Parts: sequence; C-alpha cells; structure tokens
Amino acid sequence: MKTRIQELRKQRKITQSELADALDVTRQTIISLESGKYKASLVLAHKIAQYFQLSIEDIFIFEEEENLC
Amino acid sequence: MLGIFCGTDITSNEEYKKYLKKRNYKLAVLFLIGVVTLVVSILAQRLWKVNIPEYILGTYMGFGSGLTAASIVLFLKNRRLLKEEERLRMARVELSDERNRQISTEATKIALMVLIIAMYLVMLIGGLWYPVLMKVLCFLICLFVAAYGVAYKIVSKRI
Repeated sequence: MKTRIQELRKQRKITQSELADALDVTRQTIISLESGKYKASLVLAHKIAQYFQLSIEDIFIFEEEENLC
Repeated sequence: MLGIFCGTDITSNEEYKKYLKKRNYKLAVLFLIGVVTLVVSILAQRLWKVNIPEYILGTYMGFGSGLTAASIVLFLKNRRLLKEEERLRMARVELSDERNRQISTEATKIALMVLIIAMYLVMLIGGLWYPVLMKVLCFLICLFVAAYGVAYKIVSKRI
C-alpha cells in the first residue's frame, strides 16, 4: 500500500527515528510503511493521521479494489 | 528477534514494568524446573542407580543446564531493564511493535507447518520400523488439531 508518510515527514523535516518515537513503533516499521511493504493497523493509521493533522485518506493511498465503489 | 510466545500490546513503561516483574516470577519457576531436571539427571545414575543410556542422561542434563542458565540470563536482563528507563522504553517498543508481532505470528505459522509435516513424515516412515513412534506422533498430531479447534472456538467467542 502506497503512503505519503515519507513525503509528509520530509516536509516537516522529521527523521524516521523521531517519527517512530512519536508513534511508539520501531524505526523498521516506519521504513516498511514508507516503502509500502507493510500495511498499518487502524490504530496506527489513526495515530499517524493525528500526528500529521490530516485524515487517513490524505496519507494512505487506497487501491481501486480497496474502495467500496 | 521476537520470541515465539512473546509480544504484547502494552502501551506504557509502567505497565511494562509490571509485565517484566510477572515474567521474572515465571523465570523463577523455569529456573526451578531446570534445577530439578539437572538434579534428577545427576541423582538418577549416581544415587538411584537407574539403568538409562548415557545419552538420555546427557540430554536431561543439557536441558536442565540450558533452562537454568537461560532463566538466570533473562532474569538479570529484566532486572537491568527495570533500572534503565530508556532501555525499558526501547525494549517495550520492540516487543509491542505491531509489525514485529505480525512477523512473529507469520514465522510461528510457518514453523508450525514445517513441524507438522516433519512429524507426519517421521510417523509415516519411522512407523514402519517402530510402531510406538507412529502411535506417539499420531497422538501428537491429533492433539494439535484438537487444541487448534478448541482454541479457535475460545478466541472466536472472545473477539
């Protein structure tokens, strides 16, 4: 799943470690999220959205089959 | 590397400290089991004069030593974690990280599949020469299937 986490993080000049500490996850999880290899849980997605003060849909790019219609 | 039966959804250092203290009690029990295994293996031959092959006694001693040593090392590691807040936080994050927990779950599933297939093959082939091996492994495979069924029912009622 593609995300805008890396783009948003770089805009705000935050390191992966700082983001990981803020979200209470490991740096490897941030790396995997940014590369699209790992899909965040609902709780983590919500925390990321709160951190960047955006909605989940603004950060996580859902594929066509992941949408209702 | 996350342990097979580890992983937790603890979110604060205080909760993690309580979790570690409970783990230390379990480690104390593990230590006792290790010591008892060691003592039994030593006494079995020297005092009780039990006629067991050397390699079996060696296996018991190995398990006993391993359990004893591992429980001491983990106990000391936990005590050190309880004293250092930053290390405690890093260990808590490592354990509760959702990606790490998912990796651990997937790895456990794969390892379990490999174990079941290996047991089945040993049961099939080894059972031709050793019928008792076939019975024991067959029982263990059936136990696994039954335990899975029961656990599935319990967990599906819980969530």
